[in-house]
Amino acid sequence: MILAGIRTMAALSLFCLVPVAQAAVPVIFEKPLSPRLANYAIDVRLDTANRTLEGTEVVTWHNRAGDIITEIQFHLYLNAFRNNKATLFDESGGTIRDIGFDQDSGWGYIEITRIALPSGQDVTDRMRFIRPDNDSEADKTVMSLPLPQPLPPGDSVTLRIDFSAKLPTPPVRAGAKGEYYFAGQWFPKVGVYIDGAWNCHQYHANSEFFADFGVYDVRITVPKEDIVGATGLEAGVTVNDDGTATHYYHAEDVHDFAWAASPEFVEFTGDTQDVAIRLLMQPDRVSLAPRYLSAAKAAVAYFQEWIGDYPFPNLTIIDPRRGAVNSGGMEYPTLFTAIGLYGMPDGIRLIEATIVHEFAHGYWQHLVATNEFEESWLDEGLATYSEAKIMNDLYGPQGDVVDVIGLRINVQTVDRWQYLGYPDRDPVARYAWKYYSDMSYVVNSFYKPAIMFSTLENYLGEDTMREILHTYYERWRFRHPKTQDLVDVANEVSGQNLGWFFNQAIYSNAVLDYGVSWVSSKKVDSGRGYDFTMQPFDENKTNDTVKTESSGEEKDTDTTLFLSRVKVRRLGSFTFPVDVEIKFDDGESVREAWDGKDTWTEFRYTRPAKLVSATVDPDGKIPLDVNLTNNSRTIESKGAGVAKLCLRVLFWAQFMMEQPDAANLLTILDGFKLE
Amino acid sequence: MISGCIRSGVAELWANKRMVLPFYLANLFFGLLVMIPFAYALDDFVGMSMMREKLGVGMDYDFLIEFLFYGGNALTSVKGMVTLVPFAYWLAAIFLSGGALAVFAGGARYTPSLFWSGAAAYFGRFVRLALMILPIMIALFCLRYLASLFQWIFFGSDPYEYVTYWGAWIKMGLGYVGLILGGLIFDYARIHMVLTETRKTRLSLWRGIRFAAGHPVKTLALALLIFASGWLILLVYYGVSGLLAIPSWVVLIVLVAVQQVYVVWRMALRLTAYSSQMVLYRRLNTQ
Repeated sequence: MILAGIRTMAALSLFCLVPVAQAAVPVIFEKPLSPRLANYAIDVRLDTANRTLEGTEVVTWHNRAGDIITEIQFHLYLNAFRNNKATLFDESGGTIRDIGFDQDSGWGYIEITRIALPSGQDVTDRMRFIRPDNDSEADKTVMSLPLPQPLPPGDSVTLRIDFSAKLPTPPVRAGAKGEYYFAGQWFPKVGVYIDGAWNCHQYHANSEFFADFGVYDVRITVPKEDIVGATGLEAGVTVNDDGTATHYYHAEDVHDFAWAASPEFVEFTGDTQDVAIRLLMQPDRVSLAPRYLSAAKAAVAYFQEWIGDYPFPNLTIIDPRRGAVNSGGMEYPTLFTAIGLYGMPDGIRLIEATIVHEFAHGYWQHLVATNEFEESWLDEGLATYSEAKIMNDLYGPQGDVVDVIGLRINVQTVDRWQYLGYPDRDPVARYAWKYYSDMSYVVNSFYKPAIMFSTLENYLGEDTMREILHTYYERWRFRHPKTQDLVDVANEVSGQNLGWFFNQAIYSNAVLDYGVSWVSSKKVDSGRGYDFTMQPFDENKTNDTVKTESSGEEKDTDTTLFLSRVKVRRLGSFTFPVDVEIKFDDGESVREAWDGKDTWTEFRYTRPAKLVSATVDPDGKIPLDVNLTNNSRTIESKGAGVAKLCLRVLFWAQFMMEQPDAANLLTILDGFKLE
Repeated sequence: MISGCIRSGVAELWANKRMVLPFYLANLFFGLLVMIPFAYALDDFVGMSMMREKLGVGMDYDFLIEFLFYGGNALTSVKGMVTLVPFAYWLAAIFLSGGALAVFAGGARYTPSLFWSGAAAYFGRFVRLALMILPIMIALFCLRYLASLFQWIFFGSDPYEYVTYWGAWIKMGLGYVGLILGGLIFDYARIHMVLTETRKTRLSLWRGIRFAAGHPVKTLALALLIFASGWLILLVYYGVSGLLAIPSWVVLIVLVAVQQVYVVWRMALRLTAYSSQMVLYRRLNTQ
């Protein structure tokens, strides 16, 4: 920790705010942390009147693939907002992240005006748009540049790209609103060459991103009154004669670069452990700044303790402007955007949950860097699981995300609600744009994997699960792992073959549902008929699934015995080992283990006590079970709880009929909506 | 004057306290129409699960979402009731108000025949009056949009969030004022109709508007006092009911009693409003 602190101070000390032109190229890490395959030097100027960017990019890409490369593929993400025939719009119907887009004047684009080699050779004419995912002629989010000369393994190619871009409005992740500009996925970005081919997908409604690590040197020219927040560290600022200022940012071992500018940002700073936090708040939400900082500090602390070291010296949090919430809740290396609302009560912790979630992406996406196009769940699922865990540790055990007017709801409960809506529509492992629907994408990328990880944690134990994630992070950061890599780590660390679990949870749409279907407890008949002799205990009559238990005490033949039977069913196709707890009216209980493979099993007991109840998964360790209500059954109905709920419904019906204007309270939501 | 009207109103109510019963029973009946299908749906879904007992301690949100997802078909009848019952109760409340106003107007003590004959006599007229009031009520409710207009004029189309946030509270308050004003017009129109025995609905509507608009402070103060005390007692109920978390039948009976006492109190408050308003109307119309 001390060495990390010294490292941070050393890095930060190099970033004295000197004029950009004089700033030496700084160094954050003495040795590269990542392969640094794609390195960028970008000069960009923001034209606020037209919300356009004029830029020049020098990108150097290293071929360490072992293949001869004949083309370079680029993402041109901003072309997703070019028109309503682009793939993203075609798939989303114009509503992205539930927010409508200004289809009159809100369009955006990115255009490459010139590409040249270091020799000056113009290769612009070689550029062509490709559609690796569909046949949409209008989609221009992927560009292929055949190289004039093949690139052998070990060599690198440098290209100078002049481009202009227009930011959409209101922002859709990236964009502009009023004086606020958020530039995400705004520059021509090299795809990933992996497994012998380019992995460069189009920008879909339900996809995020995938890129290689490298070094970024970015000079951003904006109006001089603008405050800028960006990936990496600010190495210098120059105030220009034309009323602008150029901010120089340097970032190492990152695979993306985002920035925001606004004259209205109010800056807050904080630090925790070895991370300096910079928070850029909107002026109408400054009262919420302590909540943002507190959540960020907690997230840093939890991740450094539970998962591993956060290697960067800093973190920037952007609070999006009103009307630009669609740029919120999004993650970039060393920077993320939060979501907040003026007046949000302390008991509604959307702010905290978002910050923890987005910081989690700082690990799972911006350090481990999985392919969000093809395996969205690996990043989103782990981030959602991490969010639920940390929020519960911070604010639980009840009401960790909502705790207001007696309403107490946990993040995991919300995750489970979402999951129950679409438990079997798709397997988790699916390309992001190939799910049945938007909601299926969301459930199978975020919520079902989060519930799955919670279930796995309960099965293996918290310490083992933490060790799995720590090992996965340490082994695979900067290396683009895939699903099987995580599975392999889980198998190795747990010492078990967990294929049975992951095959069902990830690669199938099997649903997990166990329930107690039948219970009975009847007096043992003394016997009728010829030659009948009653044997109260017969210890030889046992088998794997049908057990007969005795209380082990001497009983005289007058003791009343009860034959208790419990049937447990597997109602879904997902098999999972379960515990079953049977309780008797003498206060004793028995816990059985069932492998859960057959469609049902039965437990039998002959004892001088009556069965009271049977519960499958009595400890509530299987949140993946879609129906927890059927997990238990009692012999006798104890209806006080149902009656109480019905009486509450009666009372509120009586109240609302008598005072229907109470519904007017809901109109406060007019002032409490995200937009 | 307002406190005097309320005191007189309370005295009138106390003298005719048996009148609370038909109001309470109507409210209970329609409440049961919503609750009973819900109870069947819930009972069917919960079955013999231990959730039956757990619900006595507090709401289990996992259960709630499972009930909404898997009990959907059974809940269809509840949805139907929730749609129809408020309308039916509204008609019933109008019917009963005729009886109450007839008793208060006549000065005699409550008798079932006086009450029910009055209810029947005025029901048709009151329903016509209510339908005529509806557009006025909607227009008054839309007073809340004055806040939006004010906001747009002074803060433009892109105000800071604290403007829209506080604006939302103001809008909500204006909405309440609008609803109360609409209710006042309806109340005083009915009072005029009963006192003058007129069959001219539009005349009564006009008189109601004139009276409410002509004495805005007094009529609004009376209404707001009664409205506010209704919400205050709700807070008391909320506090008391929160203590009743133990899932036992004894506690349940106490909870029922507390709930229904609250409802009876609400009915008494409504009748107090009628009688107080009638006192106010008579006093101001003789001046």
